[in-house]
Amino acid sequence: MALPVTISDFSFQYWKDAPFALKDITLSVRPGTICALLGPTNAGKSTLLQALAGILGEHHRQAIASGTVKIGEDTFSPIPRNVLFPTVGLTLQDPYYQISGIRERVWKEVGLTLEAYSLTESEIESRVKTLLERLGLHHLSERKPSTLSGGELQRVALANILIAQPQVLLLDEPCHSLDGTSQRRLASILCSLQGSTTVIVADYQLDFALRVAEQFVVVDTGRIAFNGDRSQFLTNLHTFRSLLPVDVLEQALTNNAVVALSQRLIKNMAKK
Amino acid sequence: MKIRDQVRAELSGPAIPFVAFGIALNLTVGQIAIALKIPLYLDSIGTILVAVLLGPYAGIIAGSFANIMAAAFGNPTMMFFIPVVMVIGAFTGFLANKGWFKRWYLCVLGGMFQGVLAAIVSAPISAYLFGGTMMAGTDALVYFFRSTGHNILTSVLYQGLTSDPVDKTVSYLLVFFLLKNLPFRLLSKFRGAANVVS
Amino acid sequence: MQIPIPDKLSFVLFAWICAFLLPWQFNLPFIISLAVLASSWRPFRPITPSARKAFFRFLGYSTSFGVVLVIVNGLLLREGSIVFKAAIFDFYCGGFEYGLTVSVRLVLLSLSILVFFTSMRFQDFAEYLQSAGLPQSLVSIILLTLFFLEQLPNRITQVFTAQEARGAPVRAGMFARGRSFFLVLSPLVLSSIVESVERGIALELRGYYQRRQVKSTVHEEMANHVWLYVFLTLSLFVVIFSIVHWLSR
Repeated sequence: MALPVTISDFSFQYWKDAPFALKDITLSVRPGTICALLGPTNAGKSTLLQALAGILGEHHRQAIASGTVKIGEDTFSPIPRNVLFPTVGLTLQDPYYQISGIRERVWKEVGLTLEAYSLTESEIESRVKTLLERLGLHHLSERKPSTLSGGELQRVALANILIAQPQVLLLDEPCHSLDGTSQRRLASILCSLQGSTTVIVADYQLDFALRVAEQFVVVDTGRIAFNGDRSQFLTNLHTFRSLLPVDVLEQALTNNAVVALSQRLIKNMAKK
Repeated sequence: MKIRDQVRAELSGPAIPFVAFGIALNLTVGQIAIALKIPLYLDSIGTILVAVLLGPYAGIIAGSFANIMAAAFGNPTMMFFIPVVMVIGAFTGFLANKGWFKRWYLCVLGGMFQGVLAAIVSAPISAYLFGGTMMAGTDALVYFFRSTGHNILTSVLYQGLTSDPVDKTVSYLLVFFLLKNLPFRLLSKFRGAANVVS
Repeated sequence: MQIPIPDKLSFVLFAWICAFLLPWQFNLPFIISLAVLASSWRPFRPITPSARKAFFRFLGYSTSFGVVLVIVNGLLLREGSIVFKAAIFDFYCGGFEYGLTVSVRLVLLSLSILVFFTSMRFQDFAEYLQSAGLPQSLVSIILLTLFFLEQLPNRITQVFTAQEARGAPVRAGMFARGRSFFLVLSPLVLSSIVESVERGIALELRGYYQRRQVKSTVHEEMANHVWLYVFLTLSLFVVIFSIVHWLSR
């Protein structure tokens, strides 16, 4: 069951006297919503995701944080001090590091996550194979993880987290090194999670965000510059030219619009 | 702190992948030395790195596992020197915790002590199991000492005392300079970061 | 036919007991038999081409080692009668005997280890250790090392080539090459530290450190290990025989 995420007046510095990585962040994500966290490099997107996952609290004991984070019924003041897996799952930017290197087959690699639970090997195998089929990875189940391509690795890394059925799923730049086809495949996987998992995706790729998200948050130098739904985001898109690759999106939209128009014309001609 | 708790503390976070890297480095550093035609073993460099950044027990584990894997991959005689690498890991971790990796001259001194210790521990193994013959150039030195009337153990010890301190001092200095150049932001992820930074 | 790992371990124990307690006159034929067995009998045969290469390389090393040790000790250890004269050099019987004893012992100890490891995949050995109760963290270290061992040689080559292209003196004098050693090692260590941190975080994010220790299942299967009991019995026999022999002297 998806959990809501509420962040109130959250600020974070990696150490005393460091510049604020995040400042006065207030954000609410309803359960089962897919929220896109957009912004340029060093805006603080990864820091926010890591704070929610509990990694920052675990590894940066000297950090200074204020505010509150509420995930479901659990309130953390200011941030979780331990990793919250499996309640909250986080995938990192580089999928290569998310392959443990400990297991020789993809299905065993994904099953490694479940080895922490009291499940038999056949139960693990069955759950893993079901998930791999759902993610379109079943043909890779006997492959060695180190032989996979970037897109395949990204999906296996996602499978490593999804197998534990997290209630909140955080993805840090999942489109990094993915081609268009892989991005569309990933988008369809995330869309299938809508309603059952709260998803927060941090990325700079606008077209991917527009494909999957219902809520849009723009972060700039650690502060929230925008928080709204799709129509509000599109209406205000022009204001983010300096922060987001809007011109790239516009070109893509234009190209898509041309393609869509051509297809409609061809269809109309065929009808006649 | 109990030993078990200490080991658990040393093997948390990035420790597991880093110990694995240290072991792999021990097993492959020879590749660099051969490519550069340098007559140095430096096959404990991974153990020393691990011991400095993680602690003595992690160093012991890295050294022992490296020797076991070396034995498994075609060099079975490495198995018998596990006590030596355990001493290297433990002593290096001990020195690191005392701050001996913060100054280069302390590293030199520490390397010399380490070399002497390694020579003392390896001498009975080389003498009893190998008869003082390692099929290396250093055997000539052992035979020389034997021909002057010394027994095998003493000859091997003297040979070890001429080469091990140099090898370990070079290894210690190498690790010192390697870690000195790393950003603290990275080193701070390891529990032994304070061993390196003044 | 496959011999389980515990049985192979008991064989290694038997070989070690023989190496330390029995004379070279027994151990030398044991070594020859073991070498023949390992070359021909499937449970003990090296399973990969590289393992086979390592095995035969070791046999060559053992032979050279034995010859050198016998000759050197025959020359330097002046015990017993003179067996052989070559120019100004006298070779003594006691020295030969000592050289044979040491070399045969070392070769038997080492060969048994080598046969043990080359007759199985190291991954299978690590999994056996896990089922025997070795902590998960230590098993993971072993498996991750195997993963890094696949990648590190290529990475070293890449760094070496990159540094050479940047002008590192890889083919200059000894001191310059020593400096290049540092220039190759430094980026390698830096990238590996970064990778260790990232991998450690990734493992943590999957709940890896929340795992429960696997209960040892090894003892439940012991009843089926015939060879285990055979080698243990033989080992006990050798120990008893050695004690009796020593007491009767």
